[in-house]
Amino acid sequence: MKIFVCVKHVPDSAATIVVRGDNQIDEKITFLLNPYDEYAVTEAVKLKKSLLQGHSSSNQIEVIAISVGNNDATKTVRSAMEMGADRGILIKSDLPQDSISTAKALKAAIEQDGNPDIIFTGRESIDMVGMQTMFRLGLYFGFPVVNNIVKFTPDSDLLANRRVVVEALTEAGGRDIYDITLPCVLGAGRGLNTPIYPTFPDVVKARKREIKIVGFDDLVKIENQSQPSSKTEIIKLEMFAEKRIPKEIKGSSSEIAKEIVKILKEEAKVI
Amino acid sequence: MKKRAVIIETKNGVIKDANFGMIACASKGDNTLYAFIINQSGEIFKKELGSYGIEHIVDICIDSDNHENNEKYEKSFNPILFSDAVVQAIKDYEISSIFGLTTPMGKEILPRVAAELEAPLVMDCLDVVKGFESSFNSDSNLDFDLAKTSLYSGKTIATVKVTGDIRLFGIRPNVIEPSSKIDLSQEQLSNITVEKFVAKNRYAEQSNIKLIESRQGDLSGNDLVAADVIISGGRAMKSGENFKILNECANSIENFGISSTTVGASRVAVDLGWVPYRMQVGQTGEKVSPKVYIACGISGSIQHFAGMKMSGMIIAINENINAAIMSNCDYFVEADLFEIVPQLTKELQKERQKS
Ligand SMILES: Cc1cc2nc3c(=O)[nH]c(=O)nc-3n(C[C@H](O)[C@H](O)[C@H](O)COP(=O)(O)OP(=O)(O)OC[C@H]3O[C@@H](n4cnc5c(N)ncnc54)[C@H](O)[C@@H]3O)c2cc1C
Ligand SMILES: Nc1ncnc2c1ncn2[C@@H]1O[C@H](COP(=O)(O)O)[C@@H](O)[C@H]1O
Repeated sequence: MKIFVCVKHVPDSAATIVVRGDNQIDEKITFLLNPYDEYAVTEAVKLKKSLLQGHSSSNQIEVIAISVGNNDATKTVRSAMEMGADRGILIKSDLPQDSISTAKALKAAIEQDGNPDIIFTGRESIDMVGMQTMFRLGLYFGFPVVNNIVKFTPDSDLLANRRVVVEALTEAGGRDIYDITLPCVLGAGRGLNTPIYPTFPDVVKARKREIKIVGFDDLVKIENQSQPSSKTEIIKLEMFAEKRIPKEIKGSSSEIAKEIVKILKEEAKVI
Repeated sequence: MKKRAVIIETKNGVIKDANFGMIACASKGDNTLYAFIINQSGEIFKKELGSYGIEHIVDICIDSDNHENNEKYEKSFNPILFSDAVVQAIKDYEISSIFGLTTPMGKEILPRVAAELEAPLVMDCLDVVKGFESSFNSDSNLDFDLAKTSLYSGKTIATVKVTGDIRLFGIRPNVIEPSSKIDLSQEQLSNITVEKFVAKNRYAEQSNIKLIESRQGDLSGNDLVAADVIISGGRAMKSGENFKILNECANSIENFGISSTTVGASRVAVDLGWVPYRMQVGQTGEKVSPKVYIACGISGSIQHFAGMKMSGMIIAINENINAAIMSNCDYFVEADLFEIVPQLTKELQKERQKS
């Protein structure tokens, strides 16, 4: 069984972003594994462990982390391996790619590697918030897709029956429950699990594992789609202007409360 | 003329307010505007949608093969079936741009439709406009092609150029002002068309995915993403029980009947199990844009700001003057929230009685 996990190398949410040129950011900041992809890696590794507790031998079940990114994204693939992925694939692209071409490249590289049984992704990437890569990937493969899953229950004999039940979070805390036959694409949501925190021995072990590097252009050429007619490109990037000038509301509790009421009524006009 | 469609969202049989900002955005310029209503009768919304400029209403339903129960149409909402139904409607009506809301429903439908049409999609748009090239050439075939959205945890605003025959935009609820309602004459009203579009169930035979159960969430309260006023609590709330003071305060604002008001939370309050995840505001929670955001005992981390920095007005109540939020808000109160919030509720009730 081959379990793939798509991991994206994204700026640390706490990093200070500086815009460079018209449409880029200064990349001399910390990049990390996309937080939602941590749930995806964790679930894949958990699944592998539970399958190993059954009868399967470890070389039958593989977790492969895969990323589209520049050289630095190797770090994110490595992080996924520290969390327990067996090996990694980096689809090297120096330019940022939109979700259409990202999904194409992921599809081509996964297919080249072998037949996938489950592909995990995160619910969304925190830098681009495309919320769509998993759906495109699923469509290219012809696999069913469920995004924002918060519960994953494999069949008790997954290898034979090839079925899983997943719960996706919907409006106001509701859940849609799906019965899926493998292969499939699943987007991990928050609450699916508690991400694995690698130990030092995990980190050491991960260093010995292989990361295969393939060129983005080679892959997308295979797909014969170097000039997609549908695309999105960032043509301008500006800093979000923080223009608030804080004013203090002072006085006794009741004076403060009265002042807030006045602001809500006269300035914000919400009451 | 370009044909655009907005996917209307309802809740408990009522059109969500957030739709009207989306309609305002989609009706800019020369175009014919369709409202897609999924799995409900469009007739009852005719007057309301018409008064915001909708000319054609299409209610989309799915032909059901479930004839055993004498049901002609698929009743329950199934994201996979209905996304495909929308795809069929887009092709049938030759729609070139589709607008939806970036809500749980929009996050299911828009990307599925975009994938199936291999069409570009930008989610969480703050605005959608025509680029210079296309506006210059006003009778060209070019339609809306630039989307504004916030990227990198809300720290930047990006202009995204969208290329493709069909384009999809997910609009962030509440950021675009609705246009003012027009009073429709009887004649105008009768000019609005309502059609039923019966889509084929193209998944009837497919057995690799089945929706086996839909557990409804708690739809009684106001949506976080669409609320006009949000009052949020953080670590300082100390317990889930204490959130009732925020609920009471929210109710006393709601009681004026002007603004939908709800309670939110920081991630800490969610992680500690005090309130459910759906109340979380921030990077890994909901991104909200209320008119007023009242943060009670929330320090204002970068990740929390990522979710609420687009708020119209931010009022911070915090004991610690050095908390980050105190220097990035419109009004701050340096005090104990357990004193201020109940007092605020009292004053709001007094004010309500006056008016
Ligand atoms: C990848 C990632 C994603 C994240 N996503 C989110 C997210 O989506 N949303 C989110 O909120 N956080 C998120 N976080 C967590 C974030 O970094 C902060 O830890 C969190 O926002 C802090 O919550 P808080 O403000 O409630 O608590 P604290 O930072 O502990 O602040 C509590 C505040 O309450 C004040 N206070 C205490 N007692 C009182 C009182 N009686 N009256 C008034 N004030 C009082 C204190 O002065 C303090 O400022 C994320 C973190 C990471 C790494
Ligand atoms: N460049 C990438 N490399 C690997 N996986 C990606 C990449 N971009 C997106 N993904 C996956 O797709 C998910 C959704 O991303 P997005 O559609 O950008 O919100 C992410 O959580 C990742 O799992």
